Amino acid sequence: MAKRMLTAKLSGDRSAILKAADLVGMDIFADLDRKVIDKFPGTVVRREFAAGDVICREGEGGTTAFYLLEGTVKVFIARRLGAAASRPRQGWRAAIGRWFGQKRIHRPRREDDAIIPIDANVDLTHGQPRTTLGAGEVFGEMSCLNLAPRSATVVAETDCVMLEILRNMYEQLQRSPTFREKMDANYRARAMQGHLRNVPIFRDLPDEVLERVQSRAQLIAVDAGTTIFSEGDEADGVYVIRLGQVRVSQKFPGGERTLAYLTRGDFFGETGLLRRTTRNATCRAVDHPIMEGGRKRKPARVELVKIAAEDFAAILEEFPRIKGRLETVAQERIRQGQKARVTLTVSAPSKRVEDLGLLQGQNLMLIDLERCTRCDQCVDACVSAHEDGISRLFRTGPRYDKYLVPSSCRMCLDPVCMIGCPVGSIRRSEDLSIIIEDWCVGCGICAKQCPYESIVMHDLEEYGEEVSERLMRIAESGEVMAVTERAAVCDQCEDLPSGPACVYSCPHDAAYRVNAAEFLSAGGLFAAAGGREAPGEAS
Amino acid sequence: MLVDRKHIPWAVATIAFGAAASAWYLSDAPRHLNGPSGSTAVGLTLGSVALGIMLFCAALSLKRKVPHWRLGKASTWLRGHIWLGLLTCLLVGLHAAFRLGGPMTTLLWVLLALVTLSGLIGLVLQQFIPRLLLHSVPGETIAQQLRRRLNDLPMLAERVVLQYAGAIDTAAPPWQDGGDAAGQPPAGGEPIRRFYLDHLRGYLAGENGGDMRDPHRAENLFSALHTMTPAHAHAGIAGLNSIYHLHRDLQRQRRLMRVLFAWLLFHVPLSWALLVLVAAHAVMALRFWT
Repeated sequence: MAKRMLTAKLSGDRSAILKAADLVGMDIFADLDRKVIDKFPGTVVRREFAAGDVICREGEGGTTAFYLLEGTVKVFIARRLGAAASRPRQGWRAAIGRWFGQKRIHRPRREDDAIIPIDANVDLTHGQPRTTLGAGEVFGEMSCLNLAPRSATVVAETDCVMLEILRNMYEQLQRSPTFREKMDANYRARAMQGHLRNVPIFRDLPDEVLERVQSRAQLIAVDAGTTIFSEGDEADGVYVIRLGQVRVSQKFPGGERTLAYLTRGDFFGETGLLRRTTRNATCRAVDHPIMEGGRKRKPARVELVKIAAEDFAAILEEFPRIKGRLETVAQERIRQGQKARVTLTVSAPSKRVEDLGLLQGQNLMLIDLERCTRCDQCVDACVSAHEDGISRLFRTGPRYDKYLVPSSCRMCLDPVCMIGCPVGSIRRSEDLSIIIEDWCVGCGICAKQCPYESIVMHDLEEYGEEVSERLMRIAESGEVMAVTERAAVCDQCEDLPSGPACVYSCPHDAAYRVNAAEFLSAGGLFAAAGGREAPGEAS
Repeated sequence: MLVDRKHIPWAVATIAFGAAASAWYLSDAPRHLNGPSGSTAVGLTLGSVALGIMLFCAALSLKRKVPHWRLGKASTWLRGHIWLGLLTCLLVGLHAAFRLGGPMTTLLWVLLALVTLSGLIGLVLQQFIPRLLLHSVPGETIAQQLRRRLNDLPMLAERVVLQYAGAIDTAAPPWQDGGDAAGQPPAGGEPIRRFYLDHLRGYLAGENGGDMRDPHRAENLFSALHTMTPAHAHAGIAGLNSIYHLHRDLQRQRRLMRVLFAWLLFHVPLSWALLVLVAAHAVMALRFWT
């Protein structure tokens, strides 16, 4: 299928399927045995692009990697600016609204130099979501290996020539020492420093010290599904994710609980080293969701940078003042883990409870249908509380007893929506709610992943000319503006002192937010059903 | 809004305030030769309080325009609206010394009565219609989608008929032995087609009359159809049956929701009319107050 798509794109004399004889002459294929190359005919296409041609667009599906032979390409996230349309509305009404608690959607959450991970050996930053790649560099590796959507738009800056490679051949290339060395060198040169600077302990290190760390760091790869370390293991190093995703989980009385999904540029494993204790969580490499539901194929690779415990300790000793910063991060992670620690003591939950995934809800919305007059004030409040005018709540969903479980984020124990975001724009906030950052590329993976249809994709087109002009400025090409979508999810109105607007504005006391496990285990459901106790009070 | 234990403080406060106002009125009444009226200090004060409460009650509809603003919980507002609104009747009565007065004040009395009555009807409806919706409309949908879902049902039913009878407006061909391999519908679809044309289509299109409006008759028709068709067509009949029931549910939901919200058609405009006339009454009264 992928091969058919690859060849279908051939047009005129600017593209050509390369034969084995053509490939053996190229350096990156030099290590590969001719027999191996012969096994995969038609999997590499040589393409020529004129300056200004769009090679791929962010959010689109992709199955190939590109290796640049000549020329340079621009890589950028255009829709970050598109999403900036959720900037505050202007005018007196908006001003009064903010005074009374209207929520600003667009607010800086990270510093300008913080990274936006993309599918290349280089990352973008918030302040400058744009970079260039030159000859000898690869992009689209995650799309090729894991079928991840394209994480950025790539446009030819000059006339360029590149190889478009399918997965089976790319996997062979990954086994080639020359190719690996080249990729590792590219990574070390262009992205590794940015990733290491993302780790608090390394952020303020002098360049020479960081270079020392960089040179000693090991680049390792594991198959998806592999446990990198388990809770209780001895802490042997801190890890930074170079490619792929990692699930962090902890054992709880009722089973294992997911604390976070980490993506490219994120780090883990620092707490054990800092506190000189054993690991307090299990970290496992995870596969991309498209692969998990799809055909049977080899697990994806997760690539990591490992900084050994001794190097870590040496830095801590040399720069004791930065220990404080790391301690803050570690404490925050521990606090999050404790916050998520809800005792699963619901005695024999019914099959219906399990089917509806109610126990996933750490902040489950329920609407008491005996009280609700279907006035939709909750939905209106949701729209009105968010400056982008998009509702995160839909008053449809399954019923449980007298309650409606509407489509709205439940703050799941295992937030599978976070798996597979190609640009790491979905994350958990400190209070465990799910946040989608402004640089969402609108690929819709999170919406497909959410089992409860709580993430909605919405158009950005309505935001008009101003956004189009901004897009044009960054992309310098009209073609990249074709699709403008982004995801929106209930953020529990975390910034509103009055709590979730839907609950606050229900005139009939029919809308509640509850911790499902506590609610069910306390028998709150049945108490409330008897009219003696409202769920909010029960929990 | 369900009247539950959270209303108790409001009810107690309303009764206490009403009793205090009545006591004040009764203690003041003997002092006036012509009896109590709206122009006495007590009457004017109680009238002003009533006007203030009316303004507060009217502000509820403005608050709904900005539901998330931190102006207090919507449910607290609604409780205040209900109980203070009831208190208004007593305060207005004390203010007017329970006299109708001239045409203007009589009109105000009528409007106040209608507003209060429509509000009380709304409150009563809210005690049981949400429960009715919960228990008698399992296929409930959101109000904005009702029409669309109802419009989709005939199309869904036709799909089922096409699948089992092969055609809708022409007689089903006498296929034998299933014929699934050739992509043809299985045999025995003609009764389904006839049933759809004679009974279900008109019902789903909302035509008046017909057998399907009576649920018992409709069940009998479905049972009869069941006996007339081969086993492989029973899934199709089940599909039509569920479409029929969904249609009934949605129609019932539409009726119930009309009832649930109909009182607002009177309550809101009458309230605003009352407020305008009360303002006019206040201006006139103060102008000629001596």
